[in-house]
Parts: sequence; C-alpha cells; structure tokens
Amino acid sequence: MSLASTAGLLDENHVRAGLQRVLRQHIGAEAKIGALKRFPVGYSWLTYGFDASWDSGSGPQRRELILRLGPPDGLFAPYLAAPQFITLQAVRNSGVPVPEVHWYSDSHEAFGAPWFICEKVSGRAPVMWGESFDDETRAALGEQLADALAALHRFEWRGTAIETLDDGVTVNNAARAQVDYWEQAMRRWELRRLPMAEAVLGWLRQHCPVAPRISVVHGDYRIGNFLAEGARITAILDWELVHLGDPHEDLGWMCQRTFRPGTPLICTLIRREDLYARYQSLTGITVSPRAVHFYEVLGLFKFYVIDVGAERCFEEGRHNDLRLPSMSAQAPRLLLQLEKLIAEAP
Amino acid sequence: MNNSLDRLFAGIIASLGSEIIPRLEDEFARGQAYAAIDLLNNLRPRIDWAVGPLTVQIAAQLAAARRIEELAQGVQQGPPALPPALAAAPDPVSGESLRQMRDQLDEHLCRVIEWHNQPPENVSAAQVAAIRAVTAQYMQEQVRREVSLLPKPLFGEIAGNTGTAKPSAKN
Repeated sequence: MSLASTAGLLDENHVRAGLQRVLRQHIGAEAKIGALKRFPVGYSWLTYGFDASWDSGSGPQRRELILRLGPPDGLFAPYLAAPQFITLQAVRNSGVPVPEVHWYSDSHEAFGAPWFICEKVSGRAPVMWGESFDDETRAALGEQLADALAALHRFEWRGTAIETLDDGVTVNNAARAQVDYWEQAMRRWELRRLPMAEAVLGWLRQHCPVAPRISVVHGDYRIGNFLAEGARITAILDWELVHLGDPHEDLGWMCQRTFRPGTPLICTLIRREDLYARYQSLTGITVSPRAVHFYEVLGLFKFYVIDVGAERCFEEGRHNDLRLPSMSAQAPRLLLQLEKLIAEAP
Repeated sequence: MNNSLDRLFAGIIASLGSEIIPRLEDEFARGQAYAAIDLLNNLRPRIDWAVGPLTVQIAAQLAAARRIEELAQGVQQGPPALPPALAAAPDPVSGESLRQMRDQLDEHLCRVIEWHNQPPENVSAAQVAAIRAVTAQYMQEQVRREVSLLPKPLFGEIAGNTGTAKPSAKN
C-alpha cells in the first residue's frame, strides 16, 4: 500500500481493513472487530480504540486494544513505530506503568503508515487546565509521576532491545545531540530566520551540560501524557520522542511553565523541591539545577521549533487545520519567554 | 505570523467548507459560515500586509545594521557587510515587498550573530561585545514589537476547554 494521508487514516473502512489484515497475520485467525473509537486528534499520531474477539486453540479470546498510526503527512513525519514499541516492551515490569504492546510495523503495507497495537489501559488523561484534584490525589499523582520517571531513568537498557536506539550518545555529547537535532528540524522547516532564535541556539551550544548518565528519555514526560484512575497512575503514554540521553532532559521538560499554568507546582502536581528530592533518592542521580535549566531552555526552544514546523506544514498545504497557523502565530511570545528564561540561569 | 496571506485565506476557506460547515446543524449558522467564505473569497485578491508595522521594523533593522557597520570599520575579518540592495526601501512599496526586505535584513543580522557567536581570533573581545550589544538590543526590541501585535492566545479554547464539560479521553 502507498502512503496514506491523515484523511485516509481517518477513514474507518480503511482502518478496519488494515486491522483485519494485521490481526489475521498475527493471531492466525479471523478476528471480529467491534466499533472503532477515535480519540481526539492531536498533531501527530492518531489513536483508535477497538474490541477484537477471535477463537484460538485455547478458546474464545477478547481484547480491548489500541491502534496508533503515524500519519505520513503529520507534523513530525516521517514517524517510526519501532523505538516506542521496543521501549514499551523492554520497560514493562520495570516500575514504569506502560500498556502491554502486541504488534507493530514501520512498513506502510497494512495502513499506509507506521503503526503499533497495544492493550487498552483504564483511566483518563488529566490535563493542565481545569482539573480540581483534592490535595491527597494531587500529592499521590505527583509522587507517582516522580517515581515512574525515576524508574525509567534507572532502567538498565544495556543488554535489552533498546540498545538498537543507541546512535553513539555519550554523557559528553547527549545535550549537543539534542541541540543539533532541533536545530536541523528548525532549518528544515523555517520560512524565515529570526535573530532571537539564532541567539538562543548560540546560548544552547555554549551551555551544554555533561550528563550524569545515559538513560532512556521519554521525550514528552508531563501532565496530559499519562492515564490515571482516581489517585493512581495507570500508564505513561505518548512515547514517540523516546531516545537515549541525559535524564535531566525529562526533568527540564516536565518543569516547563506551559505545563503548570498559574501554579508553581510542576505539572500542577508537585513542588519542584519535592520532585528533586524524591527523584534523587530513587535514582541516586544528584539533580543539577543548571542542567535542568538548560533543558527547560531547550524545551521552550522545542516549542518554538514545533511552531515553525506547524507554519511549514500549513504553508505547504499538508493540512488545513487552522490550529497550526493559530499556534505558530504566537511564536514571538515563545522567543520573549526564552529571552527571560535564559536570563534566569542559576 | 509567517504564513503567506494567500495560504491563510485558502486554509481558512477550506477548513470552513470541509470541517466546520458539514458539522453545523443550525441552518442560520450554516448560512453565516457560507457568507464568511464568500467574504474571504472577496477579500483574498484585495488584501496585503499592513505597511506601517513593516516600515517600523525595517527602520529598526537598518539602524542596527548601520551601527554594526560603524563599529566594524577597520576590523579585519569583521562581520558580514550589509548587502547594497538592502540599503533602501523597495519601490514600489507593498506589504509583500516589505516583508521580503524584512526577511532579508533579518537573514543579514542572523549572519552577524553567527559571526559574533564564533568570532575570528584577531578581533578583540571589546569589539565583539560592542557588536553583540547592538544585535541584542535589536532582537529584544523586535520580539517585543511582534508580541505587541499579538492578541491574547486562545489555546485553552482551541484545545476544547470552552467552559462546557468535556471528557478527557486518551488511550
């Protein structure tokens, strides 16, 4: 099958036909697929929930499953399913709550896009606006968010399939590799160059920290990207930016002001000092405020680059989604925030 | 705001026609949406970027570029020189031609920033610092000028937080 557009991946018949095909291939039987439920559309991977039932040698089977698809015309295309699938499989039972993954492919044969299928996990994704947690729930979720991150960062990935993600990252080049990655993305997408963005890049290049160790980095670890049932986190989601790098990167990302509107609580859940203390005691990593600040700056710069990507995506007519130019029009605000954040360097 | 005007018009019209109108059940609301498309189609060939803010921006760019040239006089391996074609406003003046000039002047100032981020060894630290101060002041003012043109963002509403109850479903 050739590449599918996002519109194609939103066509239920297309998705259903692909599901029939991959389930037949992997379970060796015809599966009955229930109603497809499409979860709210983001800017990148698409998510469908569905029930599948089939007869196996050991009797009738029924599963509640999730299909994720990486649209070839998405904001960050081309996407790969392998890094997230491999990571989810490897870290399961390591203290990081993740869905059980079943199958994946980076070929476009079944859906016209990379895909993977995992078990549906119960819970809902709290967001940074309008949640009204009681103090006990808030504290419990904040602690679990810290604990799951600590478990991920102390996970011994060497000797597991995650080694295939190792592209030569070291404690000395981890930060620089990320700066280079996001600079290349900006160069690919920018419609015009802006002096402030160049100055921020210069600052980032001059302030790269040395990592305390190389860990599995989630890449988008924050409120909005986990499921919770009451006061219990049931799964950490959205692993599409997973890579090996400096564990401070996830800390810097989750500490972004964007994820705590109107509150000093990190991700609206936990005080910064409590997060650091808990994380340090669980990982043995001494948190460097300078390194966290560097990755907060890099994180804000990523938001800017994402805006630049949205602008390009819209300009090329890959999407008529008006959220893209609306979001990117605010890019100067991010540059102003970057200037102020750099001035706050510890 | 860096998307082209024509693409913005095309995208808004397409989104109204293919995403919004098919989901509107109220007949009056559908009529209003079609009228909005009609007006956008009428405006599309008649609209250009406002000249005023672009003229202010270009004046600031030229002031910074000329100050840098003064500071760089006599400096061996100094920063890139201002291309002569960028020394005067385009003729005839239009929003689109001013935008092109603005972008080229920013490109020039970005090259100056690259130069002072990795200055040649023979240039004194004081000379680099003087030029760095000019670019720093310019870009601080530029960002503030751009932000002054921005309305308050509606990210919460765009994300669906419109004051009505909503499920927060994911996975």
